[in-house]
Amino acid sequence: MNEILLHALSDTLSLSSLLMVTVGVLLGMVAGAIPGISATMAVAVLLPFTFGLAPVPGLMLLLGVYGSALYSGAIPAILLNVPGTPGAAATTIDGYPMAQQGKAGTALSVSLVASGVGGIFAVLLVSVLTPYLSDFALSVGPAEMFTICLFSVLIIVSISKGRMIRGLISAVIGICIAMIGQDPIEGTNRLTFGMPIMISGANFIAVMIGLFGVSEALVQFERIHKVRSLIHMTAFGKVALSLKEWLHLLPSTIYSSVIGFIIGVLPGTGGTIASFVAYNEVRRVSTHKERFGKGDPRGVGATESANHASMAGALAPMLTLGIPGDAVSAILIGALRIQGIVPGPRLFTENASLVYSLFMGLVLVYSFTVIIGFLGIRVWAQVLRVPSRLLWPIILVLCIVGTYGIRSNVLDVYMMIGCGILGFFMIKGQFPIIPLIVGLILEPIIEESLRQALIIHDGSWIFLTKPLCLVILGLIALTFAGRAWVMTRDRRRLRRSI
Amino acid sequence: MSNGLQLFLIKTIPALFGVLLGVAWAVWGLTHTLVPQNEGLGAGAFPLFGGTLLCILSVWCLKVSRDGSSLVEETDDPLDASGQSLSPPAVRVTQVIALLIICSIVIVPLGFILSASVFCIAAMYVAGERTLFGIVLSFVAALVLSYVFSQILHVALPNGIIEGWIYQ
Repeated sequence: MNEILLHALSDTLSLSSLLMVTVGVLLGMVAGAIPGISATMAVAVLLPFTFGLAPVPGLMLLLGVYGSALYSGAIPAILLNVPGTPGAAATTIDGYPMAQQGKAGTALSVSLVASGVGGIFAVLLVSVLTPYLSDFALSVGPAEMFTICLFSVLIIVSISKGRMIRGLISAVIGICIAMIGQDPIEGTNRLTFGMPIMISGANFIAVMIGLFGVSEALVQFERIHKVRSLIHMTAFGKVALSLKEWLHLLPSTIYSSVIGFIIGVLPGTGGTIASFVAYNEVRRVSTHKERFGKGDPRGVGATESANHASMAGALAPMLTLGIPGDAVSAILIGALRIQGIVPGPRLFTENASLVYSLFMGLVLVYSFTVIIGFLGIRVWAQVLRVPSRLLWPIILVLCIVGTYGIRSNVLDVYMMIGCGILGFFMIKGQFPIIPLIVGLILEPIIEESLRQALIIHDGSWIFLTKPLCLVILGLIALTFAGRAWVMTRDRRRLRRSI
Repeated sequence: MSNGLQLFLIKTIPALFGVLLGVAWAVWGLTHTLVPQNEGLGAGAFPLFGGTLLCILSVWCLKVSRDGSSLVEETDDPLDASGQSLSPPAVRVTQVIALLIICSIVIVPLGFILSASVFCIAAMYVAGERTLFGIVLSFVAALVLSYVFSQILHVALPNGIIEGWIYQ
């Protein structure tokens, strides 16, 4: 064990890893601060560039981008009332009133430190829990794996609030795309349209870049004329806080980190839900509820710590079961696949050093984010002035270059454009994109485990006799029954009000 | 743009696309093994199930689609950097999609770096950057960016006209 930890430490502290963390944090700071560029999009666009790197530095680059972009999303949220990333939406509730009161510097430093505390706290939790989860994952058979993955897809569909059918359509599209290529049991070529390049299936990275990069760029091209009027910044005020002020913020920050971590572990939830739930919880238990929404630093600390803790929480199902907890962990699965590493139950036995490097790297990312964030607290705000008419074309160039560069294959570029157009229409039609990605990742596991289970048990429905399967199937039934009840109740209320 | 046209573009066409995709997958599934000798499931079972489900859901989506308002961005201040009028939002998106497709078509004959750079200029023009300085700057930036990234990604060079020049 000690040898693995030492190996992981030497990988994490190597010159290339440290360089990649620094580059990633700097890029993430810039990306997150610009409204429209989400942390997910920044990671997706940079994903192909990890192709030429070793696994640990490649992951460090992506984690650096993600960790710092999540923080810098709070910069426009606080200064302009426009969240830079979706996870920073809840930060506007108290962050913007603080900026209006001339306390923008305080709000930014609270969000920065809370990000670091939430992130590091959650990484410690996940590093303790993951080995146990991994042992459990190794003990499950194909029947249990099938029900767990089915549950993950359906839970993501069910939390698409008010858009459950749209979420289901999105997941089914992802599942259909994943069927292209060789089938997992017999190796039959499926839906390849006679093209040999399609035998290996849809290029995951091209799909990701299309859905998260190109689609968002198209949306921004549509809105490009609206962005110019946003840049009216307020006074910064003091940045440093006294020890007493920090201690006052600590309990709510830790409480929110725990909430964020738990929500992050659930598949498909992510930082946005975590930050809103944590904000409401901290306000609920507070003795001065009336201060929230009017510029209370605890509100800023709660949302930011929960947002970052959920990111680390999402790594637990990704590393142990191969199930993405959120959109970025889905992209990280792609990054690992580029390196020939498959996340899942065997990751801990086959690549334990890489997993620990990832945890150590995350601690490094949060530490660098806090240091670099404080050093340039006034500089990052200036990123908001970058004209979007120059920015979005360059992002599209990066999408093309990255996608073409992976295999020097034009078909990948066509797939990226196709997925970009699909993603654009999905955004316009209010279809969630995350179920598509999760369907795309989990379809091979669902199909393989279902077919394996049926072959092993001579075609009998073993799922209805295994206790764990029955519990999970019961949970699926309960979740959907609950959603159906809520929908019926809302419909009745609407009818009564009419 | 009329509400009916918006509905057609944003709801009807994607729903019809979903139906077609679903039918194609389901037909493929039907024409291949569904239940093999070993009592498991054949290669056609999942495409049949997935395709049918997608087809049903897309038809449902087509049936319930009523409201198409506010799906297309309205232009309130359509001016570019130099004060000239900018194309309407829907036209801009169509132009960018067309540019992406053209770029992917010319990527082999023109080369990786040149096509990306030309795309960058055209996309900036669509976005409203129409000053000579901006266009020259964007061309040089895209040229340098794509060359640097081609080196990082180990893209085989020379692969086109400009790559050939640089490589030689």
